[in-house]
Amino acid sequence: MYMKKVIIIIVASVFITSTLSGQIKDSIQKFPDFQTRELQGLRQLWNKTENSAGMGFSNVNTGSLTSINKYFSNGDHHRVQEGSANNGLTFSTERYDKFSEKVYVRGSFAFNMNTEEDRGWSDVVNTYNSNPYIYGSSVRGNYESQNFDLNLKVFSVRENGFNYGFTIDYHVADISRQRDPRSRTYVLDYSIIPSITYSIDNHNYVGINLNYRFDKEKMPGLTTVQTDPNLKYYTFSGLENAIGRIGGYRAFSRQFIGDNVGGSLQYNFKKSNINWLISLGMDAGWQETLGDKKQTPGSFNSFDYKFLSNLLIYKNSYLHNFLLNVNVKDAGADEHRQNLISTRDTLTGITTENWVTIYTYKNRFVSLTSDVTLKWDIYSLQKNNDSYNWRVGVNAGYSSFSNIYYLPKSEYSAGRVIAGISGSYVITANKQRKLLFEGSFNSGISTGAKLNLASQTEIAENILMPDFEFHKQNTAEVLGSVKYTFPLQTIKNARLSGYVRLYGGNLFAGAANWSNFGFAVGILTL
Amino acid sequence: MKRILIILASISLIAIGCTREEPMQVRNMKIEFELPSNFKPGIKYANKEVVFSSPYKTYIFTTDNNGILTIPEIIPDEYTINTSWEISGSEYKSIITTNELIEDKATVLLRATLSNYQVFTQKDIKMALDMLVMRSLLISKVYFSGTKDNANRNYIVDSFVEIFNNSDEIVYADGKYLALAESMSPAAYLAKDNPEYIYTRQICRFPGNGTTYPILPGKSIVIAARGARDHRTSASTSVNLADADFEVKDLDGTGNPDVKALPVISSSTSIKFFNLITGAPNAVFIFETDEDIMQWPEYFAPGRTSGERFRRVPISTVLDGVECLKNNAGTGPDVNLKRFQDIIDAGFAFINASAGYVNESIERKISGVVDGRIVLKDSNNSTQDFVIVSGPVPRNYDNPLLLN
Repeated sequence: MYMKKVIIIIVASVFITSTLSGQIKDSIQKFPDFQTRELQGLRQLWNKTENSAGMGFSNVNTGSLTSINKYFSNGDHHRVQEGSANNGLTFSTERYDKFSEKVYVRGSFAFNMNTEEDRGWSDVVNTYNSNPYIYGSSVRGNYESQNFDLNLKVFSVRENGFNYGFTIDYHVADISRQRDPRSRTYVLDYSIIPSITYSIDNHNYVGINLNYRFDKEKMPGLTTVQTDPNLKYYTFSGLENAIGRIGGYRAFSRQFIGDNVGGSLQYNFKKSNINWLISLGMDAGWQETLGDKKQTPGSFNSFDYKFLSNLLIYKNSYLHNFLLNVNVKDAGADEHRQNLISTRDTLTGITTENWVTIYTYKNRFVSLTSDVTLKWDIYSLQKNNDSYNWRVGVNAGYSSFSNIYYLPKSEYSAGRVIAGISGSYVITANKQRKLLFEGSFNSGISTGAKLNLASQTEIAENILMPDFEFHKQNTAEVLGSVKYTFPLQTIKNARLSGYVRLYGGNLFAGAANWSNFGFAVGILTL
Repeated sequence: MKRILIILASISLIAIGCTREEPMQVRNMKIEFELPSNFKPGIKYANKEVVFSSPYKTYIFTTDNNGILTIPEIIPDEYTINTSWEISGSEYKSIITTNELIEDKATVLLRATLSNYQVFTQKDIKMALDMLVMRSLLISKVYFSGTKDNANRNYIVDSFVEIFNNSDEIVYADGKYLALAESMSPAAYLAKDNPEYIYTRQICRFPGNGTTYPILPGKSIVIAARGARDHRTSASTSVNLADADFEVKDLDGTGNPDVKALPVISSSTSIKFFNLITGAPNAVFIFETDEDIMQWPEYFAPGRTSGERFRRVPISTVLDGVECLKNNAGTGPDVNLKRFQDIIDAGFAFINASAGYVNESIERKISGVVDGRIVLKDSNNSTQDFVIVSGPVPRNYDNPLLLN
């Protein structure tokens, strides 16, 4: 783990160094503009898909955007297995560059450190609608996490009608619980995604990408500082089904190891005033849950179906962006019944033990989630089409989940419709100094929540029933931010642009709320 | 284009709909219960409760008028199947074809047990009912978890065993034996490999001339395993064993001079106290025999020619036994490590803690009160007969948990 951190810090350093050295070489007598970069990113439709080959159709200027964001959030509107506050810092950098005349790259790196306060009942990364064989302590405590994300997209220019692309995603994380029983979880997650596009003519393009993802979450063991003899540790198997054992954290270890394969097909229609990209894809994943001596409470599998429609229309001096995103995840877990078998060598007296699966309950836990988001943003462009005066948008969405545990059947489901408006407005713009206000309002209306449990357990009482009340709440969320951008000239002739952003908001849910605020600073280089 | 989208959407929906099959219950399983051959032909095991228990679920079914149990639905799992029919000696004699010397007021138990029976598919089985005349002495409490002393250190010297007279007559402890099965790790002699014998780590013999140590009906005797004193002075949550009936020690050993010695007469180690393990396993039993047990053979663990030797006790001599398994962290008790055959204990007991020091005992539940006399539950299955009690008190049967 330490070695991985070193590698990532080196990579981050290379990013920043290349940013500044590239800045000196490529510098022209103009300050980079944040809105220009934002609009170029918006026109870069293929960046929202997994197909990096298509990014060659609409490039973003060489340059780097580097930010540091400090944030705080807290409140009482949260699920039981989540903390009541977050306090964190994110460093991120993203660069578009030209590797050669034919090959371009986009790289990004992000580091996040976060303290989640007063969390309980889950020591894993993915608590919901995922592998049900999670574990945790009912004693609430603070969790400190560090996340490193590295992404590299390489894409070529068109040659004989073809563009080629390749994406590497690399994520590592380290999450440690700061209270007895103390867990420490390590996460490794990487993907490789080759892709290709073909230009049918000057208006029609098709693309395909394949992907392979490996993910591993490992908790080698727990430690305790205190010697509270009544400390329990819980292992879950889906909904209200869990076992809590006094001292159950002793000698407990577990890891999730998953493989995912999938692919997507894309179609892009492009004319002078219209650019429409659709992408349809599917991923299939299999995840093993492993303990000591071949112990495995079960396995998990999932099928993700993804649809994206991203449409840009230029009309008069307005840019319309219609974005439709649909994700459906159909997941299930096969539960194993196992016996510990001891085999004794009568000659040496040595006994070996291992767990043997005697029965598998196919799909004992199933989870179906769906997320649909629809956005329509209008940008009022300036004459150069590289920046805008204001933006206004409306959005709507629907999200739902359904978890079922069979034998005996328990069910938990909930749905929510979301509708909102958002906008941004340039309050002042003077000699490349801009003051921008952004705001949004979102309402969430529960379309119903259902909780039918076969048994009333400690888990039902302490987790599912409070969560059920959470999902029944209607919500209203207000967010606002002020962003000031300004030119900088610090190193030789290098011209940079900087920004400072203050933001905050609150989500109202009956008598409960969840508020967040923070500030960010960043620089944009050519 | 529209057509392509419709086709792709249809394929996706079909794929979603087809990927998941629900796990099914086992349906229409039948069990036919066979009474002993000396029962009159018209007698059936009718309208009797049959308990299916697994760590996750317990079912109670009832047989039909023909003594056949039909289970409409049951979750596939490994179950211990248990059923029993308790009748008086006079009733027993009225339904058999043979003459047997059984007192009218004796209690006869007909029972059938299948341990860890895998019910994963539909199958029809037969279970034969065994008969036994219920014996009087039962192990009613076993306390081995230890606790924390007043300085929050581990305190493990307060363990005890309690033996209860469940009959309506005086029973004498004289000459009976209290024993502990071997508890090697890994296990040396498992029940599944040794159906006729128990391999002991320690055996204690109650002194007396036959009528010295009476146990009154509905009363019990307490055996301090390591020290017969008031442990509450050292550990406030502990127990008072100063008035124990016996203390396991040599006849000339130190300890509480006011408490009778219960010497260890056979041991695989040189330990002089009754060596209950703090976090289990502890398979405790009482037995009775006229034979000289010191003539019974001792054996090394399989594959070994040195080390501890375990004296072998025939299961036919056993009066009662309780299997206390270790509650493994993360996985719970491992039923495969049982030292007791089903005829002695068809189930197992355990404490909540995996390592001990939690001041928990396992205690036998109360079945009822007859003429003011407490009658404890004895279905020969400690999973059903025992309950975990926090803060044990010797000779106390007022705890509401015992009524569950």
